[in-house]
Amino acid sequence: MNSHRFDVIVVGGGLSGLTAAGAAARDGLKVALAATGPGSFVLGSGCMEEQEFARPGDAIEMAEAIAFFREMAQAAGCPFEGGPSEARLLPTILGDFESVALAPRFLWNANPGTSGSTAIVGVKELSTFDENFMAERLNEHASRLGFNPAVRARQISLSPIFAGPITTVRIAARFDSDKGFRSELLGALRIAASGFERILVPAMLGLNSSEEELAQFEHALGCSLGELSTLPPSIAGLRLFHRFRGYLREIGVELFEGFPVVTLNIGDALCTEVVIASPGHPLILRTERVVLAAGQHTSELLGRACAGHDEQIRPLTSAGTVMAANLFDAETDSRDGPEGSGNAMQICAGYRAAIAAAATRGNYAAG
Amino acid sequence: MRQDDFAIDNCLKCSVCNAACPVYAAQAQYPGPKHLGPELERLRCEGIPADTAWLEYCLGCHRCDLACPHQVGVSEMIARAKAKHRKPLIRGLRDWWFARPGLLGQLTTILPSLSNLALSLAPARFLMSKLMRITPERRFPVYTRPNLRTPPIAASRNERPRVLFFPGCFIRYNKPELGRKIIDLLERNGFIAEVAETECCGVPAIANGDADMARTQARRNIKKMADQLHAGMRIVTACSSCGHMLKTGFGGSLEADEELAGVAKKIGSQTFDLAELLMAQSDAGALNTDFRSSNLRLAYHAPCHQKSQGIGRPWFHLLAQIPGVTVEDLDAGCCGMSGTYGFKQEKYGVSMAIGQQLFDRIGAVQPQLIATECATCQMQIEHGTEFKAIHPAEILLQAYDGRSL
Amino acid sequence: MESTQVVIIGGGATGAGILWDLSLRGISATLLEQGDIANGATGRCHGLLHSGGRYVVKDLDTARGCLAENRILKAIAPHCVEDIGGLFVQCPQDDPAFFEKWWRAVGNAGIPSRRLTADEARELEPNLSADILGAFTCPDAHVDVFRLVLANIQAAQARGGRFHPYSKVISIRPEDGRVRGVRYRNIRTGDEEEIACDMVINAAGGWAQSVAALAGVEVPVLCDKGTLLVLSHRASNRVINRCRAPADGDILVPAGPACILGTSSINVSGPDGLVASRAEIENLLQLGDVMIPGLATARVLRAFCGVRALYAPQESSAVAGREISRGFALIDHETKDGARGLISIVGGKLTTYRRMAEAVCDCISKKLGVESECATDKVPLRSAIDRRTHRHAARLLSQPVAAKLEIRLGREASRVIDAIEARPELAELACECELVTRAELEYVLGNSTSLPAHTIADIGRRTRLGFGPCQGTFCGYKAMLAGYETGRWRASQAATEFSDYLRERWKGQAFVQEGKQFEQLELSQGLYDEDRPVSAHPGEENE
Repeated sequence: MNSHRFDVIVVGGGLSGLTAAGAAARDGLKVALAATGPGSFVLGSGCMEEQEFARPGDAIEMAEAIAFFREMAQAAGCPFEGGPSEARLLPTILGDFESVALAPRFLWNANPGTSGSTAIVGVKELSTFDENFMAERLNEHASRLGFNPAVRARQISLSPIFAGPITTVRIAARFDSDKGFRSELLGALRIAASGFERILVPAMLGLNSSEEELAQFEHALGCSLGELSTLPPSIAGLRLFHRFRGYLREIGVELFEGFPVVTLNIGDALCTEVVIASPGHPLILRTERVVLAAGQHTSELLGRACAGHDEQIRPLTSAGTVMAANLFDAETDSRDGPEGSGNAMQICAGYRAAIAAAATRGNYAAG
Repeated sequence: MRQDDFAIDNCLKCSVCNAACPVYAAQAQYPGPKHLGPELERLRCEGIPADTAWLEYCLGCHRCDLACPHQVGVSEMIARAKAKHRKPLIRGLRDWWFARPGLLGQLTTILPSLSNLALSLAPARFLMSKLMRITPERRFPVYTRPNLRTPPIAASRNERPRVLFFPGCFIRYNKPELGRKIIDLLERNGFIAEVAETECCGVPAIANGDADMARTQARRNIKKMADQLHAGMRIVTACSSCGHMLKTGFGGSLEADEELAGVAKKIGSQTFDLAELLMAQSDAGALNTDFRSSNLRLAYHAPCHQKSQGIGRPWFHLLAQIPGVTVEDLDAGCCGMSGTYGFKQEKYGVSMAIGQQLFDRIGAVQPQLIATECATCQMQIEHGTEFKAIHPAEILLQAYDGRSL
Repeated sequence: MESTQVVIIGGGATGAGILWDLSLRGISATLLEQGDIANGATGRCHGLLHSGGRYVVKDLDTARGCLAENRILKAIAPHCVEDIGGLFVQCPQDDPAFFEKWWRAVGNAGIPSRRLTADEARELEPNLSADILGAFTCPDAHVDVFRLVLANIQAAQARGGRFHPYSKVISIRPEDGRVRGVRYRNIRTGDEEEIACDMVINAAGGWAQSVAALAGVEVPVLCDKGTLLVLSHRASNRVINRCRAPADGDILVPAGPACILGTSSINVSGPDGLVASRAEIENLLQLGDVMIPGLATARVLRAFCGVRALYAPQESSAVAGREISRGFALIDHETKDGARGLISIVGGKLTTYRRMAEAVCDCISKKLGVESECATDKVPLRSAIDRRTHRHAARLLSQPVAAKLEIRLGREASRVIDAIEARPELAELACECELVTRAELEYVLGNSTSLPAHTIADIGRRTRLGFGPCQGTFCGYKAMLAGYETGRWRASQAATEFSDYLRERWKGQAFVQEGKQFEQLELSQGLYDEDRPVSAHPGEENE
């Protein structure tokens, strides 16, 4: 084995990069993922809005990519629910509704729905989430939209447990590491939930909790459980990142974390090396193929020399030739920020690039 | 404008550093790296006395830096603020000693047996607790005569590549035997190792807020290494903290001195972690793979300062090459010890709370042995679980010899 | 119907200063302001407390006036002033003869100054360009304009002065050639009210002309726009001036943890709808870069524009913006237009607001037949924090948080400390960049302060919340929740407030197409799922 040599190196650890790494590994390739941390997962939770699926011409490609992504998410212990034609209204952090086609299971559950009594349960000491505010807002919007969920607000207190300011990160970290705390939280939520068929809580149920653990928690709670988006850091987003990361590790993807890729060494129209800015001396990884999924960072890496892409989504020089025959770009042509509504598109782009990279298997000289 | 000034500008307040910080999760009053770093840094520029005792609670693990998408350099800002932070007398005095494990090592190893006895006696530990706030829950590591020296080199092996082995304080004063094993390991893989006559790398000094000491140690180390370093000679570290320090130009402690900073940078470019070096051999097909098979279930814990070197996980891959050995990458966060941190009474609770996740994971995996290259990670694991933890180099060496562990 | 002796129109420094001065003289007064506070030039300037050095070569009177007021303001409002000193930097591109002229003039004007070599200057300010030839020191300072206006108003309120924000004057009622009262509309509620009064003072700055028109008189005002940039962190410890004849981009003023670079001078038709062009912004950055290399690529948090309202009677209409004297004009409409009881005050500068107010109040006293003397140069604007509160703050809060709280609230900090004592969770920071606790947030939203906040931008002016790098992205949300929780807004109102607030914040950042602030803006817009495209031009600084 060679620890620095790979079939495919994926640059970027967002939804696009994680999908690309998973897809490349699925085909049995030796994959490395270079990422500088959770990145945009701290801002958003991976929800895909309905409007993303409205683009004509992409439907089949998108469907395949999303199907793959869902398989991976399932295997990683953070399944997604919904579908392009099954959009539902989920609450935003401002108490509005947005139409979401796909979301992680427990965020998907956060639909107050048209039947069943719902309570929004906040934590008294959590100053960045106000259950009364959310309940009032959702009720107003719901009545305007024509349904009446009559959401109520309830509150639990965690102050004896934490000796200082309570944040979602602290609750989530405790949830993961302390079984005793988990049962105390469960107990408190059960009391608040009594009389309701569904409770919605701010996303705080673990930074690395699996679907199974959450399902157990929900089962013990005795009613339906949903998580609501909060101000960053997004616990649901970070959980998604950690689960995917753990899964990729499990299937043999080698992770190089914490330092950015700064150079792509291209010679004779082949990118053979990826250079990571590790301290002291750079880390050089050799590869057969490169998938760029680095969002805004990509244009820096390509040195703004990119003048479009070919049908295999390889970046082209201004002369119209490929920059490197083995360099694939998981580009999205929208200007949406990484944390914005482009999640489905990012997944599709990552998948597409990985498929294109995998299809060129065996086409290069060794080394 | 100074480079540091630009670094504050990079922060977008995303809070991913807070989510990655082990202390933030475990200690509810800890303001977090985002606040102690870039936010207070802006105020320090304004001249507001942005000093707080919470600075002392930073582990120096660099996980904030690894998570930051924008290269803000959070841990460096906090380290600089720590250096200006004023401590009350007792903590100040205690941390003065903790900043100098080299000095401590020199003194205790004058009469090691006596020192070891003294440090382990209940009354002594009681006094240390009361007078110096050193937690009575832990034992000091055992000190030994510092007799690690460069072994004589046989003429027949003179053309082999040489490396300069930077042993660090733990090997020098607590476990020179490990140092000898590492030299042996290197030799079996074609390297002649010279032991660097250096002192403490400076990580404890920076961690305890003594920037002057770190600078002094850096200068002295550069000078001493210059005498021994030949052109192109690689420096090898077996302790990940020493490695991190050397690779980052002595943690930026020399930034005021341009010339020395340049030399430090060069040293960094020549520094390799022991596993990094051996893995490069392995990748080139030149690793000595004359291992005896053994049925060993290992678990590997990557120290934070190993992750902060950004070299992947070479020990994991090396251990996996021993036939019959299975290795589980624990990947369960920071152990919580962070060198001298876990010895401090007021921080003992936080230290153990941070390590709990790792302890639980070990309990779930139930390995026969744990491999980790950081001495204080080893201490913490043995303190928090009933499992034994040793340096992966020892495991490799014993695999060569077929000895059971 | 409310009844008072004097109605003042315009809640900038001048208007607030007049309110304070009158209240000290025992003359009843009410101040009406269409926005919150410092809505016009006062809230959109450098915040520079001049030593006079900028005017010393061309306008010795203004320079001397500035120096006198500089000293007075430092004495009466130390909590509003960062007494950091300033430098006039000699750049190689500038006329060396001017340096000497400046040095002699400064001596004439009595402005304390030392001559520094380039090395000495750079020792004080390491970020200065290696090319500078030398520098002169001067007692420039930074004044927090909002705190200053608040201090004047609150001090006046304690002595019976009245203040109505969000109150736009819609008619001034002259009868038989004399003013009887005004009618105003509360622009938040739509209610209209009347106030009976003997005198009306038009201190409306850029809007002086339109206010005068309500009374049927003319006040010719030339509106001269200046664009300013807020940089993310303090690039210097002192005010940095360029030692040359006043021109664009030659002043950098540290302002709290940030600093402000400016400015420009462009004629505009009025004080509304101001826009800062990309060219102006680029120009300012390049100019700043001459004095402090690297400034051109530093992170800019926002761009905003303010209008200098300069009195431009017929005779000087041909003269351009900077050339018109920065002195002020007191217009007695009784003598000029036969409108008794109406006075307008136009022009001047922030530094001399107190002197302008004094002149107006002397005039008012005479007209009302009241014997009085100005005391605003001696009476402090705020009493300092008491020792008990200071000790409690040190116990409950970390040092920097306590320091900021005391600077902002002085004696009133005790209310915040008491709240934290009762509910320790209120010590949590709502705005981490500016160290605003939840308790302070609730205080400014509540009723125990005489100047409560009605919008999130109002909160910002009182606490600096949202003034940092995130420009309200995170702290604005918490402020929204605080407003809801204290009962200031209902839920939908709170969401609307926040949405409006964000939009204004975004406008000021919208000019940047790349770099860290652009990323911050994208983050903010992505978070709140805003589909609005990033516009190419920033708008006015507004709530």
